[in-house]
Amino acid sequence: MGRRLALAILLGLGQAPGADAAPSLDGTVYFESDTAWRVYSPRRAQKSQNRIAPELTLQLNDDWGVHAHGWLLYDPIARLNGPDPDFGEFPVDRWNVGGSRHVEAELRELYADWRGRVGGARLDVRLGKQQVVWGQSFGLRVLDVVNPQDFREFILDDFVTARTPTWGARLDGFAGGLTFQALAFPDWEPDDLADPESEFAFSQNLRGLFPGLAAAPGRAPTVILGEDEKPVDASGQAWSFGGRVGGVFRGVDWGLFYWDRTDPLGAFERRVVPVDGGISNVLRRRHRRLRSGGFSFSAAVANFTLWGEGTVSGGRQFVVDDLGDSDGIVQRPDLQYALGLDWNGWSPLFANLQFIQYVIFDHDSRIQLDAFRHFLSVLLRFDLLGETLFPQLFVLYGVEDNESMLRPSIEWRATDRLSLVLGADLFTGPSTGLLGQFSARRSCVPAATGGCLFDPFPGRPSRVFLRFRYEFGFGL
Amino acid sequence: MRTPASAGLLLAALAAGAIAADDAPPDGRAVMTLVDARPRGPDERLAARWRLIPKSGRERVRETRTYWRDRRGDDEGLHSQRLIIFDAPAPVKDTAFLVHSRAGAGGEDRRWVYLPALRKVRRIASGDRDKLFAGSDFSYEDLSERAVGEDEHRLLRREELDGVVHWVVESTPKGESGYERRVVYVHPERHTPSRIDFYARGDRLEKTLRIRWQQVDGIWAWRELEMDGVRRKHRTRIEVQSVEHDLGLTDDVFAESALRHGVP
Repeated sequence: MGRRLALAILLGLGQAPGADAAPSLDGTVYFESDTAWRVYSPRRAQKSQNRIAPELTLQLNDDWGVHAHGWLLYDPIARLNGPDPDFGEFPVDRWNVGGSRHVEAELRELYADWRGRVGGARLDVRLGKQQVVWGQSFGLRVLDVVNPQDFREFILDDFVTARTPTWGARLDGFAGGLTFQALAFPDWEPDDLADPESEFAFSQNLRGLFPGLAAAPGRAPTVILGEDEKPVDASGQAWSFGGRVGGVFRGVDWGLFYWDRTDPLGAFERRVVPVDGGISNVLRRRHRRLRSGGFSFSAAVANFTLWGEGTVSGGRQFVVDDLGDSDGIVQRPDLQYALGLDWNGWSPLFANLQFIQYVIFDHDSRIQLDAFRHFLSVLLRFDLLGETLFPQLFVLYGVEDNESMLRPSIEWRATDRLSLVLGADLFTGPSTGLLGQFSARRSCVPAATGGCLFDPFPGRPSRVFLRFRYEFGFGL
Repeated sequence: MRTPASAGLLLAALAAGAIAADDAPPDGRAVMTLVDARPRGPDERLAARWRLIPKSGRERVRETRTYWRDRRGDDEGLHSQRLIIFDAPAPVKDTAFLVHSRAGAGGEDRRWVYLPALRKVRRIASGDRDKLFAGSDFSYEDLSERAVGEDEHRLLRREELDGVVHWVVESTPKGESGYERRVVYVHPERHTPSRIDFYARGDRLEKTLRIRWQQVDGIWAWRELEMDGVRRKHRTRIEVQSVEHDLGLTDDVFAESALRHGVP
């Protein structure tokens, strides 16, 4: 419903008043070919995504503009999607063209912008399908909670691609030295988990993914995957809303945030059902309301910029090992925050150190995840030959599981239009860890109907990749 | 709020008149005070084409808009604010840089950059003075402004440049700077710098900036700037396409939010 309303408003803008400047149309188009090869056996191509992505901005006058962005993607390999194009549900405005798992079209953004003043305040209003970016952490999203995430490639280097844009309204303002933002999104989307048989499927060994499973005496536990539970539009549970306010105080940028939504990630609840004289576990993703307050700050001193961001949430769901628990899920408040230190002391180098901590309040021993989890990261990015060559290394390390993700790359901007990136995404650690799950082969989860619930092969999606991009702009 | 600044400009203008009337050789500080106090208007919008010219290889072109506002004398200790937005080509479109210069206020400049590829605003350390901006030959320090009191000034000589005898002033930073000294060629009537030689540590000539001026709305404004990165063997030419003054630019134009949303 919200999507239809937003679309109607967008279409109504064709009659936008106050045409004090001639309309103009600007556009950019990029072609991208992104191919990755596995570094572990079987050493085969993992993806070959060929994407054309037009982006258009129609400026109707000084106040009104309309922006549209989409892409068409062809991947002859498509191992990121798994063999079944119908697995799960695509977000709205993403389609398998011709029912093929190899061809995908997506409307990424479609929104109208209005800029103006009300009283003494500057206002920017954006209506339509959009991304809202909060925070600046690397590798893991901490404050970047507004849009759901696409996990088909786990943690993409590019959050802009990994975010799932959603339909809604956004108002930004500036008054009295403060910036403020209000958001209301009537449409809800879940985080897009990878297909169980695709390259970046979450490992069933991943701690915190599945609750403890029941089994008949002397039998291994079996699993049936159920349909996701989703918020019902009419109940208002599909709505997300919140906002931020920020400013500068004594040279320190600060921001306060609030976001109230149905948790797009959710957690797998467990129900035990009788099957053929035994029992099995029905697992289905459950999404509950999640309210988060957030903060950010950033201050520059000499060659350093110290920044931080975090959220405190009430009612996040965590799976437990307790078979006596009716659904295998408990809800607890939690804190997630990141502290970062940027260093610019040597002109060609940008360096960042980052510390991320996850804290579960009121933790008890049944919860699979530790009460405290820590990640550290290092980012080194060089700018050589006058913005032509960009060697980069990003390392994300999970302390408790002794796991890591290493991401070396080198980008060559041959011209303003043409760039090439050669890099790798490498994972180490145990299969129970967030990062380590991708360094081990997945094991078989027995299905209630026999065999494995899904193919345990292949796992270990560490890869090298080569990305080619050609981009140009035009105007009318 | 602007009264102190206006008074300062008036005093400086009177001083300029005194020097011109005497025609006595001024000292370096007086010359740079004239440069600082020349009429610039309360604010400015400037459209320009940046040409990044390597010694060999392909020239790159950037289309930019720059918004500038004089903040001397305001309560927050600011000297000026400058916002630069890249409009073309596509890969750098919407990249934006904001600096709040606090020259002479005892505080460090505040800088932010908006990276459209990430859709993020990042605060930039102010100590990163000599880092080059957007592949050009201008450093972040070059895009900020310096108050007269931040340097020791010495009148070196008079020298003819483009047919006009200029005052040549050496400005040596008292505190932190990416340069050991600057040598500034000042037009004696317009009080505009026509050329600046930048010397890095070890007194090596790092860059030379040549500025051509035009009169717009009775104000001397840039027409063309060319920074020659002598050591880097690279040049950046900024060709000004339009200049407007006294637009009534307000705080929101120079707020961090303007980086994300542009300027109305």
